[in-house]
Amino acid sequence: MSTTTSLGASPAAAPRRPAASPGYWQGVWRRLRHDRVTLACAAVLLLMLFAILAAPLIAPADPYQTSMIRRLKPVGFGNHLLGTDELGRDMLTRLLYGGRLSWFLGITPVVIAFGIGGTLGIIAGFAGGWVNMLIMRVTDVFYAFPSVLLAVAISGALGAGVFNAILSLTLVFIPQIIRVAESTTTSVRALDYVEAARGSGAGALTIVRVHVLPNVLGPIFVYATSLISVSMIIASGLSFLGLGTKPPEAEWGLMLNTLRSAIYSQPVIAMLPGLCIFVTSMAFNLVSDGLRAAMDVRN
Amino acid sequence: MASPQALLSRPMPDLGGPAQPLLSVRGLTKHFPLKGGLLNRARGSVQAVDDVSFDLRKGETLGIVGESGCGKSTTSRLIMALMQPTAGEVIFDGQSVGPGGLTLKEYRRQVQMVFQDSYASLNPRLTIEESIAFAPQVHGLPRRPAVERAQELMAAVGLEPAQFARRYPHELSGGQRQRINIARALALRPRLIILDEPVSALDKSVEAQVLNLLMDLKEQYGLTYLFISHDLNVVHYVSDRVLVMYLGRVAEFGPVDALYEKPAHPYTAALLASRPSMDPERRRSEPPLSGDPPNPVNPPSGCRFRTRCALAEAVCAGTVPPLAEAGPGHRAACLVHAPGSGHSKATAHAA
Repeated sequence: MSTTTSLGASPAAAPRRPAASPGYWQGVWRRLRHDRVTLACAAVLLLMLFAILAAPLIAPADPYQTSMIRRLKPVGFGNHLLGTDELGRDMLTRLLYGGRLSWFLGITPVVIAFGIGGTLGIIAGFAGGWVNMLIMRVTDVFYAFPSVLLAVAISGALGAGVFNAILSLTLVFIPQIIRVAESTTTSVRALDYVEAARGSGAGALTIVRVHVLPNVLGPIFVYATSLISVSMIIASGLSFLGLGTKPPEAEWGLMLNTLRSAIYSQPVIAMLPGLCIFVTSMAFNLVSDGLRAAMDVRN
Repeated sequence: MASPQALLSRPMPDLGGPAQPLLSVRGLTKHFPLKGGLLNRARGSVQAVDDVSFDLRKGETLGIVGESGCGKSTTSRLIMALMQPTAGEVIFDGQSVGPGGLTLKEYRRQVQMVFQDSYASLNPRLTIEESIAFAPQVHGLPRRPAVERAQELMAAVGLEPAQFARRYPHELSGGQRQRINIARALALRPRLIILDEPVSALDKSVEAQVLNLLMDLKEQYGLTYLFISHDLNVVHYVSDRVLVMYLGRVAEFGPVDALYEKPAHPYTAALLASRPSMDPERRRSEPPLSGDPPNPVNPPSGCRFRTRCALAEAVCAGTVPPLAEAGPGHRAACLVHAPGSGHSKATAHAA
């Protein structure tokens, strides 16, 4: 194409009408697409999720099959790609199955706490006054204890088990999410567009639905994703202390506990569950950070 | 019973005729309690607005000026019924708001507001047309006609609907966003619009465009404006009458030309003198007003301006100055203008 034709064509060309602006989520995706770290971490997480979901199909062995003669074998021993644990069970299989429980314990409490804590926090933030006072002071009581200690205390009182571990973790996260939801809602509520909506005669429920929720759910969601790694680590910690899952169940924290006696004889094997926890929680945190950056409209 | 669509297509009818003020503010007062201590007890209060009364005539633009913190914005939010006054009332076209008068929703249909911060006053997650169409939908207009009205109003404020309707606020400039805020305020066909520093955040060239747009819209839609600003030149340009506030009280109130030519209150005179002058002869090296306004938690007794006033005398500390006649329709809260007040410059006896 020559310059003359394009110059000659431009006045005659119909005005292009950028009628529809890309929506909010399209903008978020456009920013995410250029964020390689977040994309790589998301890929790692997706790969891991796929692997643990497909564990029965791809695992090379039975996770409970012990063998007294093949205990604590190194990486690459025979057909054990990642070696064997202290009872001769295949490590790769155990890690795949253990990931299922670890992910479940990482995500479930956060999802429940997001629902309950988010609702309470938004109510506290939007209602203000004595409702806010009541909810936030009760929250402060929970906040007085370090989260790990609180989880250990609740789990200890309720007894070991997956259900109790989820319950205690949920109780630990609810106050934290309430705090974030309350402060986000309080700041949005004071903005002029909420005042303008009140001034137009809209009721509280309409204002919350149209003006508050779309602007607070994002930040609360991002904060909640950052809690998944914490949840995973505390759940592993509970299992390590014998308060979460029980043997012979496969779970990364529990595996770390049972393999700790092998730390000198087979350090690589003893490290593997910890590595899984580290990589997963790191990936969740980086994805959460990336989301936070991508969801900020003003960039 | 007319459909909401028909009702919303024109402003609510004029009730009291042209002589009745559109808005009567009577003794409006707002004190914010200062809480503190272990039991959250009130420990004094910020007297943001104290006994403010004025009438707003149909079709006029009333400017409210004053320094920051003088209660301008609180007054606007009280009139918008966004906060509860401590005392006083607002009467709209002869009707009070509340039981026996207008419902809050009916009142809000007729009184709308444009905020200073054009960014914070638009929901970042709604498109422009959704933001404008929100209020009519709240009042029962179905979505499709509400969006049509939004597009009409966008055209009325000078923004091409085909180009802007489905954009988001962050994609617009400050001047464009402020036009959108004006369109949103018009969406309910109100009779009164409160403009709370509508052009303060805009640069000068855009400011002039928006002011001219406001003047055109006033004509076109038969509006009454309450124009709040700290910019004396802007208020001079747009207003018919001006109310000067100092520390929560009315200092002076009068027709714009009389007030700018012959300010009756020493505070107004100082404010006017503080404007930058184009004439080198009139440039001054001394500030006409020194210091900051006193703390509104503990305002000075008597006249609140006396701590910064060149004419202050002992009598000013003891008497709260009434709004005294200073000319036709021109009143000032200064003892100099109150006959028999005891101030050395006042006439000795009431006429």
